[in-house]
Amino acid sequence: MAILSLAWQSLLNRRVTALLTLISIALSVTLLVGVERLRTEARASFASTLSGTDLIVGARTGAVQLLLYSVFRIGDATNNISWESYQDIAAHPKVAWTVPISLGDSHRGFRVLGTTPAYFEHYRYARGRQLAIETGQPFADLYDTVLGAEVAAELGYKLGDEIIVAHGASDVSFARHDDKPFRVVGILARTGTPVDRTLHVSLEAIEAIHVDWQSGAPIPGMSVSAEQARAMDLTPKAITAFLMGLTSKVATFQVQRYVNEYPEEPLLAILPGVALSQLWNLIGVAENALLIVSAFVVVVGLFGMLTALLTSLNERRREMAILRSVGARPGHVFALIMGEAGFLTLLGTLLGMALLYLSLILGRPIIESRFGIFVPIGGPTSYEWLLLGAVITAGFLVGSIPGYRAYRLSLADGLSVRV
Amino acid sequence: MVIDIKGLQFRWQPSAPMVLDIEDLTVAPGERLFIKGPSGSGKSTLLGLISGVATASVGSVRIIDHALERLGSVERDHFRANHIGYIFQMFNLIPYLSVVDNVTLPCRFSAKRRAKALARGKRLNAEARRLLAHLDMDHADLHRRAVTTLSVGQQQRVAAARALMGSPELLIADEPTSSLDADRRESFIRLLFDECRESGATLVFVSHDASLEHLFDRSFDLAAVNRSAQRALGETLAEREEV
Repeated sequence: MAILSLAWQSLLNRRVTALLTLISIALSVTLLVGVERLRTEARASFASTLSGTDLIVGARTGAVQLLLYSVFRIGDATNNISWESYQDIAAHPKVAWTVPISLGDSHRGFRVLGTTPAYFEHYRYARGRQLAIETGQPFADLYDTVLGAEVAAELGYKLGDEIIVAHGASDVSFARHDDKPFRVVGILARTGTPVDRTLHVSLEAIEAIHVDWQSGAPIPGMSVSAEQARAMDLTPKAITAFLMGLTSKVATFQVQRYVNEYPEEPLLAILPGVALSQLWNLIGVAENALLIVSAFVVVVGLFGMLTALLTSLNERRREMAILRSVGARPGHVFALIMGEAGFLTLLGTLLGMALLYLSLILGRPIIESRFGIFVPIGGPTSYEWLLLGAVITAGFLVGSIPGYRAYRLSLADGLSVRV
Repeated sequence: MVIDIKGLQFRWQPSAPMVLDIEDLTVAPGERLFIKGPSGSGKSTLLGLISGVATASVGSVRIIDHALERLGSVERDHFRANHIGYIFQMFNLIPYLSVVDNVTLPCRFSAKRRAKALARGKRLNAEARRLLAHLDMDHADLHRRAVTTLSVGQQQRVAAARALMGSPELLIADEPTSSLDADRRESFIRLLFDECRESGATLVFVSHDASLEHLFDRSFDLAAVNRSAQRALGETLAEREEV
């Protein structure tokens, strides 16, 4: 133990170098564990981009494609679901609720989504969190629209602004529904999900702006004004997809089979969690790359320690001879250098974790509002313990290199002081 | 006998030339021996053999009735910690330890010297301060200063206090005065003598400075006694010494 107190005093004596080494180890540990925690949470958050929904139903297509257009608003549906089929399936006894989705129009690059007020009630993200309206209220009037946070922020909209919806997804659409402008009545709080990039209107509104359209173009000579449209029957003829909640999870596969075998038209029901993890497997390569990069940062940090210890050895040969003269064994000299490496590694790891928790506490609100990732501040997970253990083991292994060199030097030098 | 060397021959490697060849060297308890010799005469090697960092290739080195060549390297390190105080030519102190911690350093490696030191003073630090005071290093201000800011003479006196800490039987001083001014050399040696007398330690003092010789009980001319130095080519040995 005497030799460890020597190691500690020796570190204090070279505190500038020691502190720099300590900081580089600490920062690399913060990065490593931080990346691990963020990627775990990013995966969990991605997997719950849509939660609380038991099944997503759309026209028959691939599971990932259905997920992409119904949840991520990427790409287009190949086909629609007829209103009758939707009504029929929604009436299934095991179905607790449904939220219809009608896509196809856009506004300056953002998708317009037709739905019902049930959307605001049942849509859940990030482990069951409900959509919150930052300002305003849900749509009530036919020509009301509720904007996602990013739509409002990027285009600078506020409550009461009028907007024109364009037909189709193209940014430079020539076909605009400019005879029926919408009024902004609500802006949603940021979720970090595709909801932020969506304009929400009622299903009836989607129907209303298309009453005088056919095959993607206005019907020549036919013009129905915004006010005239209010008087018409605006029950949709078809929707793009719908989200479904069931009375019990147990019924999921039964209802899924029922939808997939629906005789009237070819439909597909998918479990969002399963489809989301399929999608994550496609794009999740990046997270592993990130972890590998941060592991390399730890290696670089430890190499810094190796350099600092090795370069100090030559000027410390006199110190080792003095220690040998008072009876220290070469093993003590090894323990002295190892002790320094051990202190640096352990303190660096400890400081790194402290930095991590500090930045989590400070950064959590920002991460949550910007990216919708809720990072819990709990103790290290077993995998994180494993990472920390690996860092400490690596630190001791790295320390044994200068330790062994010092051992050899002190064995060769004995009491003769050579510089 | 504190030191009893018989038929000692030493070479670094079996193929290397002989460095030391000493027929007979004995030092009685309490004796103050001056070992004289130019560099290359094998002084450092002899001190390494006496302090047990190296062992005789042929012959025997008995220190305080322990044949060092029969001890393992760990035992020899332990033996040195318990029985030998060592003073270097210069830069004797661990730079990151305080003056007092430098003096008590041997007690970290030897329970025996720790016990002896505690038998004299109530606490290790008190015993260290007592020794420092005897060596005219009793200003509280000096104890607080970083050892690297002490003058060379002060550093050597701290080193002497460390070598005396816990009353080892044998004190080895390897040219401890060569970095001191001429007038300081004698006073340092006198202080060393006083302390050795008080603790009953045997002193082996190595120097190439023959002007100090008259202060000692007995002197030993290594160049004359070391038979291998006489016949060897001085140059190769000097090299071997310096490597």
